[in-house]
Amino acid sequence: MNIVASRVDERLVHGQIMTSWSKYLQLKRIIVVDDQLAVDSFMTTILTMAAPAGLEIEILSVADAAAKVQQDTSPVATMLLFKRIGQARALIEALKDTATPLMELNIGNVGSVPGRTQITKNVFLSPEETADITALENLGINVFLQMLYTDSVVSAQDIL
Amino acid sequence: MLLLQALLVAFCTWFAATACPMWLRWSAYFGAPLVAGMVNGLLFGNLAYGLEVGSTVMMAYIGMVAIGGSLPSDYALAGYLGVAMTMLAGADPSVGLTVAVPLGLLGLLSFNVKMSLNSVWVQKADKYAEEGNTKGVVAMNLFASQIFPFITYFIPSFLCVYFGAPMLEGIMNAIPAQVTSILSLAGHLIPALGLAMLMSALFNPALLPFFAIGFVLSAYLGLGTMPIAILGAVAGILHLLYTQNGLDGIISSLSFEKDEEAADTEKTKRLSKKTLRRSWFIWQSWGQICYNYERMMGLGFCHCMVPVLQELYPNDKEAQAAGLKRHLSYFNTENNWGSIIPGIIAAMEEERANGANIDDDMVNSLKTALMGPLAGIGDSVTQSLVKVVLLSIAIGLASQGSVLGPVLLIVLFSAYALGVGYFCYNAGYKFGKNAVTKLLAGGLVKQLTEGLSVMGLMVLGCLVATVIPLTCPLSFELATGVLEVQAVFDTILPKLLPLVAFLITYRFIKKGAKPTTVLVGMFVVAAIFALTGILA
Repeated sequence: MNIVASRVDERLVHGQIMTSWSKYLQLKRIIVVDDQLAVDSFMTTILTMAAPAGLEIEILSVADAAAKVQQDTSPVATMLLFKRIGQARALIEALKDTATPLMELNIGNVGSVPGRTQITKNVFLSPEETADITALENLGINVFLQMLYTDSVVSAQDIL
Repeated sequence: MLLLQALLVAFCTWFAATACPMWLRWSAYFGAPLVAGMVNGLLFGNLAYGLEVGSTVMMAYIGMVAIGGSLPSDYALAGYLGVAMTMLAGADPSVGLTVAVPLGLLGLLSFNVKMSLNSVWVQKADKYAEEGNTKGVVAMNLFASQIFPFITYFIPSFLCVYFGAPMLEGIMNAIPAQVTSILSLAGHLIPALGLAMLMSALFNPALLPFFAIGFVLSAYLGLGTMPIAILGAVAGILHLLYTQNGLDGIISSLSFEKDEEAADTEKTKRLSKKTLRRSWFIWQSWGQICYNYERMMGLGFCHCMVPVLQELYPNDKEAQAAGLKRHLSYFNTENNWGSIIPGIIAAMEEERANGANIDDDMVNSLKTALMGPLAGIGDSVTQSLVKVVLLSIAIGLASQGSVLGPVLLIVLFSAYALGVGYFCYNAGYKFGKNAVTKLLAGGLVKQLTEGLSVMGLMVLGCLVATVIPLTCPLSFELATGVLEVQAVFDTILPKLLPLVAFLITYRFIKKGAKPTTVLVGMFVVAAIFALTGILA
């Protein structure tokens, strides 16, 4: 699979993805990876229908996504999009010893809810999520914070 | 006199930046330089000069979008303050950008500080919600939210005008002619940045011919933005006619089926039309007035639920308190299309008050689920398409000295915002969460996006030919007479230099260059070409 970006964004396919990233990366497909969303028929409908022309959206569970990443050899420019950091960690761990590991993870927007503390202006993390990121870094994954491609890249190592 | 002017300019800057109702803010803030041209023109008693400066500065900002709480430059400072400073210094309109752009970048500081500090009012609202104090929550949203913006917008703008304007006038008079020529050339180049950013938002290989049509109509035939926008609308409709299933296909996609209006007589509590209208209007006016990084539009959303909660639970402080707390969570979407969400939630609140089994978690997860997709649609339609088309028409009119430009912008953009918002809120209330599926399934949004993209690209082609006024003043003495280089370019392709400047800038933007880097690069390029006299 031609994965051009992997991103955690709680708001999923919203304005920043549609008007900024998808144009910059010339995305043709976004695969939303989330075990809960994959079985939620209402959200699946909303997400696939909200896709603009020329952009395909799929919603897969972690297991299905792991299988697809390994099997799909098409050149379609794809973004893997996660709602939850834990799910990103699960997929990265599932792929780590395969021929197609994921080496990077962009943290975009993670909103403020009780139990999360503010890391940057648009990223709020719970202790579990911070632990997930540390675990990913220990696997040698480059975890970085960046909202839009015109924003500067901040390495998670430097601020956590 | 200067004291009064400084106060008024500072007031306008602060008002457009944060205090004005959101439906008006689309034009007053995102079209700030142009509207400022009119306002400051009237203020300083020179409307023609104001419009000229305003439309010149506006060109640099036409392609910029503010999405998901990120801002490329602060429009209020660049607009109201930037135009005022340029006018007070008596500078040439093409120098206006050099004054406005740095102020817009400094304005990001005003924006960021406000966005960070405003969280305290949301936390204070949490406490009021706990007590069921609706007045307290509303006061936090409407009034407390303005304290920090007043400090970060009003005061610096006032000081800048009052102390800076006389200084700037002195500086402008003292700078050598070479520097002025560099600044003026940079002012001619900068619009290419805005247009390049716009191109990256509108880019669609299949629709590129429309860009060429717009460029040719303007470069060869000299048509203005208004006629090209009209032709663009026609082309958009024709494009849909030929690519979709003809006229019937378009019409059927536009109709919003009105079925399954279940006559549920069992409901004992019903929201009145008046309450729904109030809730909608609060959302579209004050949904974003206390915008902050912690909860974004959370407090504004809670505010719009106040009339709903009050009607459903009169005299029940506890239920009201629970409702207020429920709606103070993180929320961020686009205001117009996103109005469907408060509509849906109002219907859910109504069901809940009638005893339906709906818990806080269901309400919140639906809000979070819908806010992203609707922001995706809303941001692309409102900011990349509607805003661009309206702005280009308005700039076209204003640059010819017509005050109709900014006036039309305000009227049409407000009408669009309120119209779309009212429709979406009511659809949300009536159809519940199915409203979103209905809205999307009909293909209305896709048709609108495609049609407006055609129009946008044609207008963009026209703008490239009109708002980047680059020429080459070089000429050579030959045996056969004087050879004017610009005349040679004109025989190859009129407006060749603007097109080349646009394409080069677009290439950089497409490769991921940051707008600020490109901006700095433009000043360097301007310095080289202005001093060597190759470009003007």
